[in-house]
Parts: sequence; C-alpha cells; structure tokens
Amino acid sequence: MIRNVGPAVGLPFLVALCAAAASLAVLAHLAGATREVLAFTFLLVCPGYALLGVWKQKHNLQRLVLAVAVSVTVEAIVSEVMVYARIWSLDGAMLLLAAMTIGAASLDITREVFSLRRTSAETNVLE
Amino acid sequence: MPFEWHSLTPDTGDPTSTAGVPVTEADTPVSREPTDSQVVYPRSSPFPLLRQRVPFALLVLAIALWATSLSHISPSHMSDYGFTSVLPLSFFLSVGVMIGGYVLALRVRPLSAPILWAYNVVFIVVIRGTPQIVYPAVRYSWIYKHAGVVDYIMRHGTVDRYISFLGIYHNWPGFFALGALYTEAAGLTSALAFAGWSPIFMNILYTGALLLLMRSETRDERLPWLGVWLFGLANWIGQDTFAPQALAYFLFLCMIAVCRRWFRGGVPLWEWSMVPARVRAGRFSSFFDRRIPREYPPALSAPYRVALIGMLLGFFVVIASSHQLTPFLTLGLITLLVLCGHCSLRWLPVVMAAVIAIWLLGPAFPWVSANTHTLFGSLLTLDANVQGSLKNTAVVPFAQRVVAYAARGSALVILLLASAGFMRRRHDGRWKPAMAIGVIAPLPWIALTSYGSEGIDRVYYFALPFLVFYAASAFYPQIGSGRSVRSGIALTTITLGIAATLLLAYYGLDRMNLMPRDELRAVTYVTATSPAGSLLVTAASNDPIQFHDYEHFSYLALTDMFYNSKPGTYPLSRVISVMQGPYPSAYLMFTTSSAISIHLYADSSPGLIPRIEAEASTSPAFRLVYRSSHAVVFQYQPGVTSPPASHSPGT
Repeated sequence: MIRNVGPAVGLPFLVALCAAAASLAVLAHLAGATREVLAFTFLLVCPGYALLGVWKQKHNLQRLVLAVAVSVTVEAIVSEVMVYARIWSLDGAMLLLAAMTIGAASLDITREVFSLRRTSAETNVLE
Repeated sequence: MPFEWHSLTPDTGDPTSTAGVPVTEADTPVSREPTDSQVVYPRSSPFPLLRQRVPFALLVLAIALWATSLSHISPSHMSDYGFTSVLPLSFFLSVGVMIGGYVLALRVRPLSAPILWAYNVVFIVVIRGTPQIVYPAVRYSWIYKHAGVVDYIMRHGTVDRYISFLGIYHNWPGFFALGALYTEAAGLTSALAFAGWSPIFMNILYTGALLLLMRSETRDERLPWLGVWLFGLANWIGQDTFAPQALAYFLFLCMIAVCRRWFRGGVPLWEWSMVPARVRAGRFSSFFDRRIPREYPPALSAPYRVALIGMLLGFFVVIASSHQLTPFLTLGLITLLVLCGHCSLRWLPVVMAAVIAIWLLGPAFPWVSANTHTLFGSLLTLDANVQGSLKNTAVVPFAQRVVAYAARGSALVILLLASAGFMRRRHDGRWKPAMAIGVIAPLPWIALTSYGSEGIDRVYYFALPFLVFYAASAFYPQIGSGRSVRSGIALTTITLGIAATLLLAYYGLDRMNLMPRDELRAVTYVTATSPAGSLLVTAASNDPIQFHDYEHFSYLALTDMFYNSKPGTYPLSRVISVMQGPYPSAYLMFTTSSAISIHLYADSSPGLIPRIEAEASTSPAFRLVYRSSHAVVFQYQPGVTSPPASHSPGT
C-alpha cells in the first residue's frame, strides 16, 4: 500500500480536479464568485502546471511562475487560432484546455504511482 | 531523479575556478564554494531568535499601518502631485517600516524565503493595489480601450484587421483574445471587472520571473531578493496594467530566464579579442582582455531540451502576436547573448526574426502597410526621439516638473548603483557579461523609435531587470559581504530615497488617471442612446470611453483636432464642420479627467477647451443631453443655424 503519496501525486490530482470543476462550471453556465474563482485558478495555473509535470519538474515556486507563463501561452495560442479561424467557442476552448490538463496530470500521477510502487517493493525486499 | 530547478551557476570569487562545470539533469552544478546560506557567519546578535521574528513583526505593523491609512484617503482631493498628495502619514510609515523590515530580513541567517516573499507581495499590494482599492473605478483611461477590444472579440468571436479605431490591437490580438477567454470563462460581461487588479498580479509574476533569472546568475541568495526589491522600487513605468505590454514583458523575462538557466554558454561568435589590437589598446583594454570564463550549458536529455525549446518558441509567438515593440527588444537581446556565447541556441535569433517577419507580413500586414510612417518615421532621429520621450518641463505645471524630475532621479540612482555594482563585481572578476548585455541591448531603440514618445521609458523598462542585478551587487558584491551595520544603514537610506521617488513618479499622473464613476455613466448613456455610426468628440484622449460596443462610434479628440494649429476666433465652428459629416448623430463630451490631462500635459492652447465648452453651451446647434458633476454631453442638432461665416476657424 502506498502510504505517503505527498505533493507528487496530490498536486497533479488537485490540478486535474480544478480543470474538471472549472470546465463543468462553464458548461453548466454557473454564475457568481464560485465560477470566477474556479475559472481564474484553472486558466492561470493548471494547464502549465500539468504540462510541466510531464517533464518531471519539481513542485516549487519557480515551477509555479513558469506554469503561469506556459498556461497563458497555451491559452493565448488557442484563443488566437479560434479568433483567426472564426471558430470562437468558450466551451470548445475550455474542453480542449481541460482535456490537455487532465491528460498531462494523469500521466504525471500514473508515473508517480508506479515509481512509488517500485520504491515500496524495493524497500520490502530489503526489509 | 527529477530535474533540479535550482541548478545554480557557480558564482565564486575566482571566475576560473568553477567555469566549465557541466550540469546534468540530476545534479546541481558542482562547486567548491558554499551558497550564502551555507556560510557560517559569526554570531552578530545576542538575540538571534528575536532577530528572526523582528522582520515578521515589522511586516505585520506595516500591514496594520496601511490598513489604517485606507480610510483616510480621499482621492477626489488630489493635487497636481498625484495620488501621493492625498496619502496620510500612516501610508508613508507603512512603506518606511516595510523597507526597514526588508533590509533586516535580508540580514537574517538563514534567509527566510516565505518572509521575503510576503514582504514583496505586501509591498506590491500596498503600492500597486491601493489605487484600485480606493478609486471609484479602474485607473488609466487606456484600460477602458483595452477592455473595449476584449468586448469586441467576445461579441464577434474574431477581429477586424481593417477597423478604423484601435486597429493596431486587432492586428496584434494575442493579449485581447486571451482577455476574452478569461472574461467569458469567469462569466463576466466586461474585462473591467478584473482589469484593475492586473498591476498586483503582474508584479507578483515579475518577481517570480526575476528571481528565476537572477538565481541563474549568482549563488548569493540575498542578491536576487534585493534585486527584485529594487525592481519594485524603481519600476515607476505604468506598464504593469491590463495591457499587451504587461503580458509580453512577463514572457520576455521568462524567455531570458529559460535561456540563461538551461541554454547558457555556447561558442561565442564574437569576442573582444577579435577587435584589432591597436583599437583595443585603450584605457579599458586590461579589463576586456581579461579572460571571461566560458559557460557550459547543462547536459539536458533530448525530451527536456525539446520541451524547453517548445516553451521558448511558444513564449515568443505570443509576444510577437501581442505586442509591437517587445519582440524586437527580445530578439536584440537574445541575438547579442548568442553572439557573445551566453546562449547556446544559435539558431534561435533566426527563428525569432522569421516569426516577427511572418507576423508583420501576415496577420499584421493591414496595419503595417497603412502605417509605414508611424513605423519608420522616427527611425534614426535620436534627438527627436529623446526630446519626445522627455516631458517638456518648461510648459507643464510645477508639480509635474517635480514628478518628472523624481522619475529621472529614480532612474539616475539606479544607474549609479548599477555602475557601482558593476565596478565592484568587475574587481572580483565576476562582472556577469550576460547581465551587462541585458543593460546594453535595449539602448539602440532610443535611436530607432520614439514609440509614441515613450521610447526612453520603454528602454529603461527593459534594461531595469539587469540594472537592478548590478544595483543589488553594489551592496552584495560577493557572498558574505555587505553584512556590516553601515552597509545596512546605507541600503535602508538609499531604498527609502528610491521609494520616495517611486511614490511621486508612479502616482504622479493619477489626477488624470482617476476615472470618476460619473464619467462612466455619461459614456454609458451616450452609447446606449445613440445610433450606430455616431461620432463622439471628446476634449482629449483621456476619457473612459470605448469599453463596450466601441466599433459603433467614430471618435475624435479636440486636442488632436487643434494640434499645432491656431484655434481661430470661433473654434466651435471648426468642431461643427466635422460633426456635420455623414454621422446619424454626433456628440460633444467634456469630462473632468480629460480637462485634467490637458492641464497636466499642457496639451492645448490655454483656455481653448473651456472656451469651446462655453460656446457649445450657448450655441443653438448643440443640445445639452447629459450633465453631472464630472461630465457634460452635448448633442449636435443638424440643420440648426451654424455660427456666422465670419467666425471661420484659423488654420
């Protein structure tokens, strides 16, 4: 059993959860502060944080700064493509970004879980 | 093993001792020198625990003083000195306590990153956030125009590259498309709902990006923290708002940080030694001839390398599609870094140039082809560019002269500190050429463009991250130095001085940046009641207009109409001749914020705008449709007798 997953699994899980919640809030046309908080948190941090996780970056403040930079970069490119292709769709953009985020976070979680299992098995053998 | 983000570059006293140490993904650079936190300092205080708690206590005190000050600020009583003129004593005390506390926090061992971060965030909230908290509406008239472009994209789902007004934004829409996504995703109707908080958010991001950049240059942990503090104190350029420049600047900092952290080094294409010996044989020859330790890039695996390069290219594509000037400044800096062997991606400048060319000749071509004079008119006109960028202190009110000199004084102090820091580092053989290149790279742009009379400001803005690195080095030239009480007092005194200039320079124009709610109501009234295609004539370009349905109007500012021309004996007739054009309806609007901007900038002939307002109020050709304490709107009555022909306008 994995007893101590820590931020390596917990944070990507939170990021995926935030992506799912934000896109649901948008698709369900939720109004008010909850949607604002979810949307801003997701858009500002999550896509970049999840993508940087694929490259095995440590969980620290520098990652957070670059996560914001990568997030706004990905979102600006997605928005611009939609603007120039005249296919502007909030739902489409949110679904695309959420799928990207959840996919990347899942990859990170899976890898971390396997890595922890391997470490745990090695420890048992040694014990 | 995960990649190490804190892969710091050795920064030892001896430049050759650790140069060329390759860095692997798993390791930090091998160095014989400890970091600053590893140095064992003599116990300088008999109360170390107390000393660690004092910065925290001072921060709490500063927050309390600031919170107390908020209820005593009355923005409507501002004088020509700007927001500073209505700030109570407790606000200044709060800033002073913060500065003292930060200097103390820098002296505590080991350094407490949470406390230093807390200081930076609180300082940003106090300086950049107070106007947003106490002002009745979002600060800066230009933010309303930016919100208008976001509103256009939200309603149309696209841009109009040939649009008559604010066309430049439709040709560089990256920031606005992003703004539309955020506004819609949050379920808001206008970007104005969050735009006012941008300065806080952007400055926190700048702090993070600058730490990333400076930590790649030094192992002294105090230096980056002092650098970001000085950056916050010396950044009086109001470009941290809801604007394309703010986003592009953040990505610019990230690009340089990524280049310096993971793609440092490389074979230089140019070296000082290539200059003929007789040219080199000057005063500084011994300095430049000194061997600069060659940098080696970390040994990255292929997937990491590809990911980082993808990140860099993504950043630059967004910069190039969002802002006009930043791509060129970024290209210039990275080209110099590559040429001098401080960035190993030798092909990067070529790709960046191609991205710029593709954007200019593709999506932005409608604007570029129609504005060649704007683009190239100020090319190589150094004198005009400098004169245009500097406020003409001879004509503006005395208070604005003080504000202008405060801004120049702040820049001068930073320059002097940076020079001192450079010299102190030079003596130790650690002058960090990459940072010096960062200072030098933006300079040619003073000669290349006036950038709407903001050329020098922008050059200073782009050199600032590198200037503050050297300025911080003036206090901490090497690990373990700058720990004397005298040094602490000097740092406190100088930063207090820079803070004083910041308060004057950053808030100096706030009398015109303050947008009364009355004016917003007047604009909303006009846009709600007038038919599409109407003309809106304003006194100056400083009204909170164009924030929604902006494409339904044509716009004209009286200050532009009468720019460099004599108003004549009856200036209103000239206004009427324009309003008689093919518009279904035409409005003439006078607001307090425009009147103040004309006063502060000395933008038109003295008394001209009040005279036009007085003439309109008595002319039968105009009907008063809206009046409040801060705004007056007249509607032009077509067909009603015009002023006498003898009152024809001058030219």
